[in-house]
Amino acid sequence: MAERLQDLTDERLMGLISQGMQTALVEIHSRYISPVYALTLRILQQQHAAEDASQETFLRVWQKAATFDPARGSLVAWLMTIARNEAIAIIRSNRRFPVMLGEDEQATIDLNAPGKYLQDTEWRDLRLALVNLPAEQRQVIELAYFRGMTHEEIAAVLKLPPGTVKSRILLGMRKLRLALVEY
Amino acid sequence: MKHEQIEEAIPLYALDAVNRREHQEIEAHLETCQACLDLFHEYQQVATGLLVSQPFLPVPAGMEERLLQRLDSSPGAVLPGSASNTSGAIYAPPYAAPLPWESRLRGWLAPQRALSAGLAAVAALLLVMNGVLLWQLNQTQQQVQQTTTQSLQLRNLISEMSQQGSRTIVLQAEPAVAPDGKAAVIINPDTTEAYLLVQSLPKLPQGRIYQIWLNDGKTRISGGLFNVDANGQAIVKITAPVPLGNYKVLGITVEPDGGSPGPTSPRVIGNNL
Ligand SMILES: [Zn+2]
Repeated sequence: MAERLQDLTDERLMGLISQGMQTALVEIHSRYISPVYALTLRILQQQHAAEDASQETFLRVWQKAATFDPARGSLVAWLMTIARNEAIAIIRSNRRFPVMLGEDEQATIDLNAPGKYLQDTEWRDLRLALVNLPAEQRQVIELAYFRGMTHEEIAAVLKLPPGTVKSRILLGMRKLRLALVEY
Repeated sequence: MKHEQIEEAIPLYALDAVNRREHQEIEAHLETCQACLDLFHEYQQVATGLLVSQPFLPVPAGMEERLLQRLDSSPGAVLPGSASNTSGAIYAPPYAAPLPWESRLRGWLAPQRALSAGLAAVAALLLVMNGVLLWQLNQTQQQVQQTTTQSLQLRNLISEMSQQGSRTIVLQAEPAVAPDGKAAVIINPDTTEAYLLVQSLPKLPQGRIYQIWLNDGKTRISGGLFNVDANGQAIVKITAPVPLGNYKVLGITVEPDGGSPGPTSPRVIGNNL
């Protein structure tokens, strides 16, 4: 029987990509474009910019496939970290991106739609935990991680004392860690 | 910062929410303090979880084509391993010099080097098609715009060719109908999908289309419809209801738009499978 790309593991496909096989990249793209696009859209809030960042992400996969080490984590984690970096770099290089204060975040999260690509229900639980955080904690975590702001920048934007921002992030992160551990 | 302060700041560090100076201090401390490193790994999991747990979103159309276009865009292909330092300059293209098409093809096939059948198929195809692949692989950027779908098909095709059990069958053109026509089909008898490449077929008038026929010796079924571009070229994916090993003959005729239930004109090109 012929071996089909669709049947290969992420790891094998990454090996093929590092050897220059474009069809393997196309397969990885079809597996992960949805979460990558969702993440970049969440960060950039503009379809066009999100498409650009997603594209850059897969170009990086093409270029850096050989550096992917499955022993250090899953491909999706690696990919999403790259996607975040690409999207944040766009924000940082471009002032026209408005700072969203993250208050409408909940509206963009559809909890009924399971992450199709993800079997890991624990991560879905984490999404739930994030949504269930007190709004003030969720907001600062969103601004830090999905807008690329430091705690000092967040304090300036929200007009809060730096210590308040820090402690909100810490409280929220502790709860999220517990959500992950308890699972 | 002391251990206690670092420990406190680790969740912020995992979220990438510390400034540059804090970042450096924490990074240095993590190299010397196992307790903080363990804590960091836990929070790093949380951060990764936040990234990964995205809701399912429909993706805008055409992104795959655009990616392939970027890979192929002039002046040179973006090659694996050509990334240098990616921090900061996100649009600085780390392009390497263009590779000749042969090595790119070899690159695509490298993982299956052991499958000599696949390579033989490619070699045979190159011999027959002399030009179509070259043309496809050396397209200028403007052409890429129009033919990305074809590029994608070409890639599928090359992937198909490199599968074990695939072979290339050269089709014979009827000199009276398509004097310069060249065609080959990449077929794997165990599967229901095959790829047809044609070159230098006459461009058809409005209202006419090429139709592929598959004959199992008793009945003839349609294998699909296609048109050729200005150069008389096309790459067509054929999908059959049963594995292709069941068919004995493949032929192509010219039919009215929409195709016919059976051939209504003489064969343009074809061969025994
Ligand atoms: Zn420590």
